Amino acid sequence: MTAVHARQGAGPTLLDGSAVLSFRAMASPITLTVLRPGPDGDACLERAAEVIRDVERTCSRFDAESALSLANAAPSRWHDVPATLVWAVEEAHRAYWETGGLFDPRVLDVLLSWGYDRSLPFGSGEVDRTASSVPMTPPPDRPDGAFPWWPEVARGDIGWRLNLAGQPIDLGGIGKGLAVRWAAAELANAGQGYSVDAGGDCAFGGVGPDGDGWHVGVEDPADPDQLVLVLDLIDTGCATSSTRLRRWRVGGAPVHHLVDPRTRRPGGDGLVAVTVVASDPAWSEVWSKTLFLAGAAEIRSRAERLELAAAWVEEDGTVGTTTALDPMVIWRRGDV
Amino acid sequence: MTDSAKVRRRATALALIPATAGVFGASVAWASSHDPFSAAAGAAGAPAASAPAGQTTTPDPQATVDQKVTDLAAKISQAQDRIAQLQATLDAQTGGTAPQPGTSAASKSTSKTTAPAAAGAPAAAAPAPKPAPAVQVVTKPSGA
Repeated sequence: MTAVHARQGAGPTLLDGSAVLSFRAMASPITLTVLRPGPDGDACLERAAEVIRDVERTCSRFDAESALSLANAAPSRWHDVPATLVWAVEEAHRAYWETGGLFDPRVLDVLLSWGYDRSLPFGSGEVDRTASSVPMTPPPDRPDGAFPWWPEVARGDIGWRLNLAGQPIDLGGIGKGLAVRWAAAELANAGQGYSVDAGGDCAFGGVGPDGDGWHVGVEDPADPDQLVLVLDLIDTGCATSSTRLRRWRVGGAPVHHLVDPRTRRPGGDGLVAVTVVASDPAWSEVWSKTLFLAGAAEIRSRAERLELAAAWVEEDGTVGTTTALDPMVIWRRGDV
Repeated sequence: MTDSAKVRRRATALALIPATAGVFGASVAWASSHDPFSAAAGAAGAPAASAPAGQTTTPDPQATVDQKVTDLAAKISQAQDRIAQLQATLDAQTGGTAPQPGTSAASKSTSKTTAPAAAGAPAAAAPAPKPAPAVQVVTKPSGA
């Protein structure tokens, strides 16, 4: 098997016939790989990296100067915004309707009320926040959270305009999925195959370094050094939603970032991680997040009904997979 | 010796041959009827070739041993059939959830890395788990 290595914070590196570019963006390590790159391989890698950085600049809610932060600051007004933000909001809106409202970027107010108003040091240990003054329940005129979301976009004389219809949004998950989608498009003709690895969100082109597919490990959330599954993926996207990292305490109560918009509480009872393989990385992210909210009791029936290729890890370590995913599984740890 | 004497002697010798054979045959028949090995084989109920009426026969020890081997082989086959029946009954009682060789009891689905056991196969020791193949990418939580 071809070894693929990456060097942090530098230009593309050619190792074992693969060009690799690694950097950090969107609070995650990013690795772009092109197999047996063509003459434009390095240029494609640089363009793919720039696409990811552009999404970060535009859609981050942790950067007070980003287009999203400016729109969030006055969500009832029209704003001149870059096309990247318009496309991201439109895709988020599509996901909102496609999932029956389970994917709802408006849960931002809940996250803010739990003190997740900045990039928190989840990797450094237990994070304890005090509750903020942001209300944790829907406004009185919008009871039970079941009100529809209708952001508006318009093409102006000099560009795009956006109105968030009165509520700030978080594009974190789908923003990264879209960044992976667009970066993958830049790498499609860069060589004989590619991978975009943005932590939980990935895209794979071609048949992998050895011609038998990309071998993708699914992390054990109980032990990041271990895998629970190995998948064989060709020309597809993949995303994992997990509470292994982004969990903290608010006044002593445990919370995590996967908020159920129906209850406005941490969702996914009994689950720790969900992985979905779908042709598009952004929709892999959408489905992994919304499947997580089904919880351990319902996830299998929901995933099978939607015919999703999905795997999940329950709190007791049990690993489940759907019939659509099983043909992609080339290894399963014996005790799960 | 005259020729007539020779003739008489030969006639006497020829006359004695049937008598000698009769005595010998009677002795063999008596010994056969008092052979304890032959009686034991008959008590076991094994089918024995009966001699035609008026003839006497001796038991073949090799044939007796072969018959016993045949009987034991039949019993082994019956025992194997019984084990298979019991295994099938056990599977039915557990609703097919009994752990099978090559599968994990905790697994909620069958992947292509696990082979279902043949029905009725005796339980075997679980093979050592295979190490994970080398991977190019690991999907994990955002930010990890």
